[in-house]
Amino acid sequence: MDFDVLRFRSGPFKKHSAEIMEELKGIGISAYVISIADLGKSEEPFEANLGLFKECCGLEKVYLLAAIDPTHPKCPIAVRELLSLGFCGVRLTPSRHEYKLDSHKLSQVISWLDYEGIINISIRMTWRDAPQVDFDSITSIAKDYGDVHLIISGVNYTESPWLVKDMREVTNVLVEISLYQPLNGIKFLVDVLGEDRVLFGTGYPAQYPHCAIFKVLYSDINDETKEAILYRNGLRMLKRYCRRAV
Amino acid sequence: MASHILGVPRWAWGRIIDVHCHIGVDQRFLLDGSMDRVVNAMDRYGIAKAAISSTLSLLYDFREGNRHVYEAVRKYAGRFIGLATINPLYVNEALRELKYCISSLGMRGIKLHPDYFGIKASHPLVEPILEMAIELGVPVMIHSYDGGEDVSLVADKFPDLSIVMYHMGGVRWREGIERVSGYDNVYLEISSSVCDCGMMEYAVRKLGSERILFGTDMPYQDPAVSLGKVFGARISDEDRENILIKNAIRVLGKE
Repeated sequence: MDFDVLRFRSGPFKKHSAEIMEELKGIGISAYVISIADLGKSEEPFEANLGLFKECCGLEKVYLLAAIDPTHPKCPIAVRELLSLGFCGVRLTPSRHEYKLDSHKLSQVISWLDYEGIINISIRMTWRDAPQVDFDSITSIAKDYGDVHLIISGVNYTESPWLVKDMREVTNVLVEISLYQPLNGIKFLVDVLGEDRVLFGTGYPAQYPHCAIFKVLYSDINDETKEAILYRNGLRMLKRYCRRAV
Repeated sequence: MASHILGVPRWAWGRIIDVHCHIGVDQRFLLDGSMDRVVNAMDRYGIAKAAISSTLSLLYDFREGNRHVYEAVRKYAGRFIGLATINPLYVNEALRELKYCISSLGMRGIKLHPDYFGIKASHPLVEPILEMAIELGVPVMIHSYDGGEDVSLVADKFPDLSIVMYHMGGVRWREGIERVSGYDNVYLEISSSVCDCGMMEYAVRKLGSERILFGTDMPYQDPAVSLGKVFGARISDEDRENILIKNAIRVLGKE
């Protein structure tokens, strides 16, 4: 269960969702969560995400997150409509959309989701980006809204001190591993967060998916923990938030 | 896409050579690359040998770091190849340390880190070090996140020097590959947090797999990252063997 698949609509990483499905199946990944990676700052959010929805209709085991820029005025309505179509939640990419993700914006998004939806915060989409995130806000919002799950993507070793300092006890925050690269990083995440809070993701087709697969398969953790990371945790999230059968 | 889902194939297991590895910790990021942990990771991924420098050289004192490397090479005989890290700003002391590390401690390459030491490899003050590297017959490893700008200047001025461009130029890897493609004395080392699909194929197409080297950058990266690039790329097994094994033997020499 790959929790970080990206749909680029142009450029070198552009691939149709069905093609992505075929390729990931070839390396043992049978289900994935996808979102648009290149949503423009002023782009109308409903129409852009509707395109992904139409493309994925009929594809089994493909789950959708709506890419949104919460500073866009049409976001509140778009999010509600996309959830009713079957989107499981939203993906926020503050470094791409050039806004600072603070507690005010984050609590707004939670209310648009009516407290029912995954919030994926991608603090950096590639290693080129500087995170545009107020980490203290994520911590405080996660504590204030204990029933809402936040999934943090784009974390690397530079964020390890934050994870230890602030994230140990915040059980509704999960970390997705596609950009977490340090030596023994998966074991570190399991030790700090617990095996239930680590999610498998590849960043495909922007990144070689083998990197994430190897990180888990070769890590110094037991098979049960590997299973939790590779699919059980993702499945749990989807069962809770997806409005169609998982 | 390549389908080596189960991981490192049998032909490569236990033969892989990592030309870019560190021992030591980096407290800023809670990274633990103690020599025992590095060897444990090498064993898990089928890596036979790693060319190492010490984080002490980057974060504390380059000479202390070189002693740390020597200790590791002695403790794990046959597993580590020592690299001498040199801070060029120490001028004469740097040259003395270099000669000692190569001639007396048996180290087989030089590591330069322009970002940590605040001096580019192409700076005139570094030239005596590069000349000594040619004289001693050892390669120079240069950290490169600048798209190969610094390395290409060095390669142009020192055509007889064997240069390993660490990180392939970093986030500007495409620029890095293009910039050094005309210099036969430059090899690319593939480690970095960047694992963009297509980067390996592009490097092989532009330079040929004979000029690409496998490195992990432990403990800043897990070996999974670089191995994932090699086995995720649409390149031949012959290319993979060059990258993982054969080229490193050519560049670093056999023991």
